[in-house]
Amino acid sequence: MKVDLDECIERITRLELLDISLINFLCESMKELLLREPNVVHISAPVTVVGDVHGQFYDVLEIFKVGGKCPDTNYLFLGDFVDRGHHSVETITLLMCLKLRYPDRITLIRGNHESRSITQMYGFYTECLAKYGTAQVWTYFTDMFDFLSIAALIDDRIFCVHGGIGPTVQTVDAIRAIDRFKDIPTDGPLADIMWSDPDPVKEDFSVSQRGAGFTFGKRVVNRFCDVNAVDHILRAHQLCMEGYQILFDDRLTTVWSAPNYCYRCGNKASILEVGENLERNFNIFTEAPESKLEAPAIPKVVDYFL
Amino acid sequence: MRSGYFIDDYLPFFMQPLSGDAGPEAVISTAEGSARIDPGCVHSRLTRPAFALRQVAYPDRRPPVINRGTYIRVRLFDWAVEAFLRQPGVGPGSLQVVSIGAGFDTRPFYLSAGARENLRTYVEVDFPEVVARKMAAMQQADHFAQTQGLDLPFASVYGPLHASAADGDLPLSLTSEKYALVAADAADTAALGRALFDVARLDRHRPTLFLFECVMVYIRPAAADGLFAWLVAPDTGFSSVGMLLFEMIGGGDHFGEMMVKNLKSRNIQLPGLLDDLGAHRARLQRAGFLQTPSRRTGFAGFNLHELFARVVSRAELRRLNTLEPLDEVEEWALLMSHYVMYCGYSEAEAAGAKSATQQVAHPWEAFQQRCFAQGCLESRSIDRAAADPALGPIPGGRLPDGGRTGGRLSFRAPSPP
Repeated sequence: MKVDLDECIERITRLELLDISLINFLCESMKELLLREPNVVHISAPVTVVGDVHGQFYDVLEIFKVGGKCPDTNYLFLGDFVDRGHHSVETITLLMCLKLRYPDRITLIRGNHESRSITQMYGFYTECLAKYGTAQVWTYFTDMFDFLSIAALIDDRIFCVHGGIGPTVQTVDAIRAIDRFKDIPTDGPLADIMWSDPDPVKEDFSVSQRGAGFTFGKRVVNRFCDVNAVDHILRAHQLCMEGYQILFDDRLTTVWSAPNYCYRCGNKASILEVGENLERNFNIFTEAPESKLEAPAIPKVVDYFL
Repeated sequence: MRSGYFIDDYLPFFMQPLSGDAGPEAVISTAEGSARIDPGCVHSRLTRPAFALRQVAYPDRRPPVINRGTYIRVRLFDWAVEAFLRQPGVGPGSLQVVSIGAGFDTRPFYLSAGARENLRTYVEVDFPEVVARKMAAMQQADHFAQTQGLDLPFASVYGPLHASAADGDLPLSLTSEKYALVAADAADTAALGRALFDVARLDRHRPTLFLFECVMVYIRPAAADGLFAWLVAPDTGFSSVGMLLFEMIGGGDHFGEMMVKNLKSRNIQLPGLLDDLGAHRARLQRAGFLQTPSRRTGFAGFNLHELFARVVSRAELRRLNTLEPLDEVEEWALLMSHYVMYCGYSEAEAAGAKSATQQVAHPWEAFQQRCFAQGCLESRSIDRAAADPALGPIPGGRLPDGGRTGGRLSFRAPSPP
């Protein structure tokens, strides 16, 4: 099957859904590509790091406006591409096409929402069913998620992961040793790096409110950085009202890239531009005009208790 | 003896969809919305396995944040009403409950036998449009059950239901022994008075609990003040009245602004929206409900985020996490801290004097404590069926209690159909 990826990208940018057989083919190609990528991807700076986008397609287009188009800008997406927003299908389709077209200019690592059980609860499954009339597309995407890399290192100095670290994951080598080609389990090292959160108040590991992963404190972060010879940890996973949050004396940053999350939270979003000398610059943005509730593309029902 | 079917199974099947979503219909649509949420919520009927399975497969699946929030709201009101009605030392048929803006709620038909025994009257009040549709739905549900040879879900609880059309000043109503569904605009105290005293025949000297479950936000502040003042008016008000109120607050932040904006685009206005719990308390004080000489009063309130952490026991939280884990903790915190729930009471001194001489805890004070007691939402204690042996065992057995120890996630997500 000969596929014109530029045409696919152009079509999905106009929110024209690609048909099922094409999605199947693209997912299969993606799996082949990802098979060759290591658990921990090595990236050279400069790179722009993007946090959770959660199906907010217009805001993803906004990211490319604000941060520069791919492949002109080198991108790293920290996972959670789907669920919650109304355009998860378009979002993951676009990101997948970009990865296939420019494999060395965009890196996608896995988030805790790239999983079968979570996507059934948080909207991606429902959206696939609604947009394609069949759950088959969801199966193709979630099978592809099993192949995504799970962490990244920028110039061997900045460690990037979706959630954080856990007691079974003290070294980057431990992450390299994980068998990642499966659905995210409920516990163990793969769950920990997808689900954990920093806790500015604590020193060590503690039980997480989410029911999976752990919270980790200052001592854990310092030890991780020392042992693995990294300067900084970049992660996403947690909503930040200002778009980002820096903790532990500038040793850990949370990047959040979904503005007005769920069309309800009223938060800002950011992307983090890591320069050639690893200097960090936040580019803060708010929701795209098309993402506003009045826009026809967004269905009007935002949930509250009434 | 109850049949194997449950009341809430019926109601959604018999409701006609609303046409259009503009203007005053929009508030009525919130009743619809709540009714749709309730059956779709995995949590509120968790102890009934057949029902829970149906909910999990329910196509209109809500986000976990909404399901969990609906859970806490529904369960807390269930718990509080049971706690009020099953207080010790009251005679049978001595307590009254009034639910303002009750919508398509079916709570009165789920009360335990002990609660029903102490109940004198349970009144549900809402707009005529809602009352008419609920009446029709209830009657159809009973009729359907009859054709199937099953127990009538509604008529078998308090006896036969008599419908009365609106006639001059008398509103549309559906009444039976101990239960009344009456049409009235709560912003009009004259109409409310007719509904409660003429139709539902309430006794203003009996202890009465008012439920304001997300309703006062839709009422203009002046009318709301009027309503609270009317509740405790010297010669015409209730001598011993408590209230339980749940609704959103503005919070004075971005989230609150966004909420107002989002709802506006659905034509839902919030004229009565207050900023925080302090503003609610101040309003009750202004109305003479709280801190009035010659009345014994009390107030205790929380935002839902802290309340959830307080009232949900560890075992219950484990069970919730087993059925549907919650990933979005920050969003949960944001959303829930923009909702408040409080209990207030106001009792004329003469009525209260009796209990003081008996050296027991003041009943309203005790109720307030029980309402928000730490860990009070424990599966077993509020399971409607288990609380009342007369109802018999739950068909199909009980769901197992939670998964492994705290901090661990156990998914039991359904496989796609």
